[in-house]
Amino acid sequence: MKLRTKAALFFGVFLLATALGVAFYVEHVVGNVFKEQAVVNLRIIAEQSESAYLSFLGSMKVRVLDWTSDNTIRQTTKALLAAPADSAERARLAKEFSAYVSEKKMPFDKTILITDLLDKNGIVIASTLPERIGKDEKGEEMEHEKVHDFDSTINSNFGEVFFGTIVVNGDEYSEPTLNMTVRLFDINESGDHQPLDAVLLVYFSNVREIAEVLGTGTSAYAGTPAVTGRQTNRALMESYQTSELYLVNNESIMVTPSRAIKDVRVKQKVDTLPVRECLENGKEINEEYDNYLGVRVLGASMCFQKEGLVVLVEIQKDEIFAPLTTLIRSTIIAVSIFFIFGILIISIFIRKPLARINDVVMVAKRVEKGDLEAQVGVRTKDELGYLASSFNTMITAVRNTQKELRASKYKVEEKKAEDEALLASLGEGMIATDKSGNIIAINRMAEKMLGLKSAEVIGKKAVDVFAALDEGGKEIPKDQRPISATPMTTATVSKNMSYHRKGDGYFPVAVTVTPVILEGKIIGSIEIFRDITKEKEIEKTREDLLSLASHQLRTPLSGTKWLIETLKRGLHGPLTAGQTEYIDELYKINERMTGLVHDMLGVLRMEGDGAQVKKESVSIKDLLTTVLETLHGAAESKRITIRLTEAVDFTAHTDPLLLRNILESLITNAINYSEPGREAVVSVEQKEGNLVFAIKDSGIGIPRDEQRQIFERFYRASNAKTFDTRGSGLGLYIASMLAKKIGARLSFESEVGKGSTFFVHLPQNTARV
Amino acid sequence: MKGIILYNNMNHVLIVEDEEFLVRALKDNLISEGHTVSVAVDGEAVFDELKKKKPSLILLDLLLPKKNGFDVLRDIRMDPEWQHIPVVILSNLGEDSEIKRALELGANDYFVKSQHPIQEVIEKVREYLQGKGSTKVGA
Repeated sequence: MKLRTKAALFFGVFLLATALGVAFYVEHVVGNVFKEQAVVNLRIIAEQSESAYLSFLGSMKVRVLDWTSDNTIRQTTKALLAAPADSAERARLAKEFSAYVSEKKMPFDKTILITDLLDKNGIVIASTLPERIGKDEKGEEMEHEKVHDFDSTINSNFGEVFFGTIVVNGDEYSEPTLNMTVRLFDINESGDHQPLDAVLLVYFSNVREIAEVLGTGTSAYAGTPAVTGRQTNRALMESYQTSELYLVNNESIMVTPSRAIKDVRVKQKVDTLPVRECLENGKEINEEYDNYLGVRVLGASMCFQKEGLVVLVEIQKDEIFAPLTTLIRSTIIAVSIFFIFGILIISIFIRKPLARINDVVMVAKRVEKGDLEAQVGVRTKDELGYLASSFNTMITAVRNTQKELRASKYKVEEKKAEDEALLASLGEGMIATDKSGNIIAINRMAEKMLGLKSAEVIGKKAVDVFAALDEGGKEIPKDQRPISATPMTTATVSKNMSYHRKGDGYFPVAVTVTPVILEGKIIGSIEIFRDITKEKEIEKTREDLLSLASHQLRTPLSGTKWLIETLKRGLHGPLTAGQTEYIDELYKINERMTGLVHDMLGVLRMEGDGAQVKKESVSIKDLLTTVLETLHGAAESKRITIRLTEAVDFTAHTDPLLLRNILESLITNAINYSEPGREAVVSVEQKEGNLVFAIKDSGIGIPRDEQRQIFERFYRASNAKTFDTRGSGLGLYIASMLAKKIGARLSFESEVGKGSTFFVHLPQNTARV
Repeated sequence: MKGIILYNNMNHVLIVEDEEFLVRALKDNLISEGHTVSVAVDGEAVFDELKKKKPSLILLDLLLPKKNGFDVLRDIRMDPEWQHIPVVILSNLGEDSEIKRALELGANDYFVKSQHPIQEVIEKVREYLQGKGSTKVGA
């Protein structure tokens, strides 16, 4: 949702709430005041109407009372009552009564329709309408309640007049009629009223007149000038367009004209709340209800329960509330206007800031689509300007970072392509796994060697894909395979084992597994392996050759040696001096040959895999003792004393066999290149993290200019050749090579004629575990 | 001393060696020292000779016709009758692995023939026959 929409929405909601508040206030607070005021007005009208009606009845009462005091009527009635029933006399008197009333009385009041004379039983005994004679009016009263009140009348005192309700379309007359009953009295000599058993029943057709009296006659509704004296009532009525004032009789029939019903002969039923309240409970009300048309009105009622008449004053609620409706409508219009103006004002005042925000948004969208050259042009000095400036800085930073990333990515991809090409063309098998040991890459050579296709192994556990045997031919448990174990130890593991080639068999491999560590976490490992079948064969051949050479070359040499020794012992008779000299020469030649073979086999052994370094904890004292014991015979035969200086019992972590070979070789040299009777001293000391062995002789020494070549293969110092012809020139070479294997270094100090000291520097810190 | 050894038949040595000149050199020297000697020239003849006359010491070559010295040594060491006889290997096989294997199979001593004067061998035999033999490797 855009900001502008939000602002408008907020404003709209605010106005709506205000409007609703105003409407609520008007409706419920002002509305009630209006309603109360209207109801009070209606009550006033109703009460005025009541008094008007009562005074109207009063005037009628005076008229009727005047009739009862008429002498002719009184005398005729007395005669009638005295005359026997159904007699001619009675008929004549009835006619006389009728004629008198019709001619002498009724012409003075056009609203009187009929006048009946009833006996004490309510039977018509004389009437202005002769056919009515004999009619049972009491019976009629039984049938139609409140038509008139005969029972009360026949027992009443002088001066009492009883009115009935207003009857519409009654039996007697088509016009609405109002009945009045009054008892007749005679006057005696003393002037007292003597009641007669007769009642005068007068039918008035004066409803129009009543309406006029109430101010609601046809003329009122027609808008003619009001009758003097009814001003207040009419003015109030006329000030409302929907005002009604009418009478309803005890049968809930409207008996005076109303605004909607001008002719009461339609007998409009008025079954409304005030009518029911009056007729049933005798109550007068002023409140809100639905009128006879079903329209909501405010009304007031006056109740003449005894007479069976209700006076109703009503005004439609809508009209009373019209000012309020107008007020609400005005409010709505005002709110609408406010709203429109508000929107306009919002649009005008926040258009610019919005446009600036929009600028930022547009640039953000461009950046989102990858356009990092975009910049926001907002330069204002408010928060927006600050936002824009920060945003620009941010884009620049992102752009720079992206550039760097692209460059790095390019480099990485270049390197990756190189690596991939390298791996693909690698002559060794390569399998890369993730930290769970699942294969993520395998090169062509590995596929070929294992008889697998990369598609069928990627994602699978490497140890599940092919089996491996150790060097003894036993299957290696999956969890002990280097590729499984490496990620846990983080160390590079190199091992020889056999791998299974699919559909073929096992072949020997040299395996190196290296963990791949990224930011200190192991993310997988890389296994490189190569087929060492050929190497194994070559090694086997070499070993066979060595064994064969050892045996086949040494056997004749040892035979010659032993036979000469036997001969020299004189087991087969004493030798002459010349024979002894020859035999000694033969012996020396044979010894030289033996030394040569020994050294050559040593070189062969050393240069092959045969002399693998196997480090262990070695007691130097024990080692030296063994070496000296071994060489004891050779030293003794040359009368050379070998002395071991105070030997500290050092312990070294190294290959004991190789170290022993080195020391033997150096001590043998000390024996061989010293004059008989001399001494060789062997010592050991700890120096600068090394164990330093020193073998000091007092032999012939090495000429200074030849010292550089002393460790070269087949090199023999010039004085050595003449001193001892047996050397092969391999002893020091082999010793130096073996020293290299165990991480040691050889050095020497020598002076011709004085002797040499050879040193073995064996690193202690690196050699130790 | 000699006489006692002779009488007790404690100076009999079995030489197992296929090279005639070596047999000869050993035989000459041992006899001159007063020992009696019997000879087996291949791996299978060893047990025939053992049955003929039980030696106090066996000098055993490793590369032999018919049955190699390692197997012979193993069989001797498994036989309750011969397993206590000291065996000294005299061989020109001088590889560490071979020496180690022979010692593991129960050899008492190991001489690489070309490396040692015959006098050393004779002295070693004397040591064993006098009950002073000890397990030492003379490579």
